[in-house]
Amino acid sequence: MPKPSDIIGKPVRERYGRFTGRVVTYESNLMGEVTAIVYESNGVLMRSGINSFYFDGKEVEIAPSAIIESRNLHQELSHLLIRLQSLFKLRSNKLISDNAFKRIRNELNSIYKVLSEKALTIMDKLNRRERDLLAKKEWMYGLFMNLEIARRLKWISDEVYIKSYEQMEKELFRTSNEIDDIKRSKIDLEGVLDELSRFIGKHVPAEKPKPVQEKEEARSSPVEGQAQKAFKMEPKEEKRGIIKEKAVSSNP
Amino acid sequence: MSKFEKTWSGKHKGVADRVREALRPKVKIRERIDFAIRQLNIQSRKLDIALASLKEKDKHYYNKILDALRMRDRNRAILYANELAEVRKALRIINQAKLALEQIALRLSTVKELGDIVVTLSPAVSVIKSIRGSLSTVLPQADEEFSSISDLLSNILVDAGQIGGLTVDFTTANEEAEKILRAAEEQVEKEMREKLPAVPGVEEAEKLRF
Repeated sequence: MPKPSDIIGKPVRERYGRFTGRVVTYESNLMGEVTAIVYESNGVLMRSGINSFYFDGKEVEIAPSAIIESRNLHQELSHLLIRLQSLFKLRSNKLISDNAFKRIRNELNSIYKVLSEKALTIMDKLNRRERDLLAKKEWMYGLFMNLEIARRLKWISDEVYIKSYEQMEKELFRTSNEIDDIKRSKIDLEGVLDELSRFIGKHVPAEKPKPVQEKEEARSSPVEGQAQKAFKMEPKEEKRGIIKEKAVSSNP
Repeated sequence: MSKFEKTWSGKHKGVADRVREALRPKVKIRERIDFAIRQLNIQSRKLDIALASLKEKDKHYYNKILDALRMRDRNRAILYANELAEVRKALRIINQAKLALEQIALRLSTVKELGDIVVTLSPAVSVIKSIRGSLSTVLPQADEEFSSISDLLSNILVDAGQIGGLTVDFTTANEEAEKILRAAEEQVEKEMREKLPAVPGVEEAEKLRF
C-alpha cells in the first residue's frame, strides 16, 4: 500500500486517457495506510478506492477494479508458484527438514485456497465487465448511426458531425482497449492458474478409486472454466493438505 | 541410460547426481520445452487480441477516408490514410510475429517428439547391435536382416539429429528459419492483399457518393 506522503500531489491519469488530474487527499485505515485517493480533474473532485488505482511511485493510474485486482492476483499467484517450486526443489535436494517442509506446505495450502476463491470471483468480475463493455460498444454504434442520420438530414453541419464523430470514436477506441485489456488479463490469469494446477497435479499422488456414489456426485457437478478445473481437487484435499510429498517418495 | 536420456527425462538418481542437483538446478529439457510451448501459446493468443483490435481500427479508418473524400475534405482523407498506413504496418508486423511464434512452438513440439523417439529407440539400437554380432555366428542369414533393422533405427536417430546428446545446429536452423520467415512473409502479404481493400482514391469515392 502506498504511503500518504508519497502519493499526495502526484499526477493522476486514467488508464485509457479519459482524464488526467492530481491527487488532493486520501483516505486511510487505522494503520495509516492509504485505502483510497481523492483527486481533482477539470475542477471536479473524484475518489478511487485502493482496488481502482495503481501507483508506480511517479504517477497514479486509475483503472477498472477488475483489471487492477486481476493484475495483483496474477502477481500473487506467480509468487505462490515460485514458492511452491522452490519448496519442492529444496525438499527433493534434502535441504529442508520434514517439519519445516510440512509447515511451509500447509501455509502455502491455505494461501492457495484463498487465492483460488479470489480467482473465481475476479474471473467472474472480468467476464461481467467484458459483457458490459461489449454492450456499451453496441450502444455506441447506435449513436454513430444517429449522428449519420442527423448529418444526412442536414440537422447538423459537417463540422459538428466531424467533431462529434471524433469524440465518439475516441471513446470507442478506449472501450476497445479496455476490452482487449480484460481479454489479456484473463489469458494471464488462466496461464498462471494452469501452471499452478499442473504443478500441483504433478506433486499430488494419484487418487484412490472412490465409491460409486461419490463418482456420480462428481460427474453431476458442473465445471466452470479454467479456474474451477484447477481447484477441483480442493475439497477432497482439504483435510490432508493439497500438496503432497511426491518429490520425497520419488527419491531413493 | 545415456546422457541424453537422463537430461531429457530429468531422471538423475545416483548419489553423485543428487549432490550435483543440490548445487545446480536440474535440467529437464522436456518439461522446459512444454513450458516454453505454453508460454508461446499465451503470447500468440495475446497477439490475436491485438490483431483483432487493429483490424477493427483498419475498417474504421477506411470508412473515415471514404467519408472525408465524400465531403471533399482531402486533407482529412490524407490524415486518415496516413494513419491507416501505420495501422496496416503494425498489422503486418504483428501477423509476422504471430506466425513466427507459432512456428517456434511447432518446432519445439517437433523437437520434443524427436527427443521422445530417441529415448525410445536408443536402447533398441544398442540391443540389436549387441545380438547381431553373436547371432551372426550361428545364423549367418539373419545378419543382413539385423543389419538393415539396425540401419533403419540408426537412420531414424540420425534424422532426429539427437544421437549421443542434445545438439542443435543453429546455422542450419537459422537458414531454415529465414526460409520459413520468407514464406510466412509472402503468405501474409498475399492474405493482406486479399483481405484489406486498397486505400480509395478520389474517383472511387466519387463513385461511392450517394
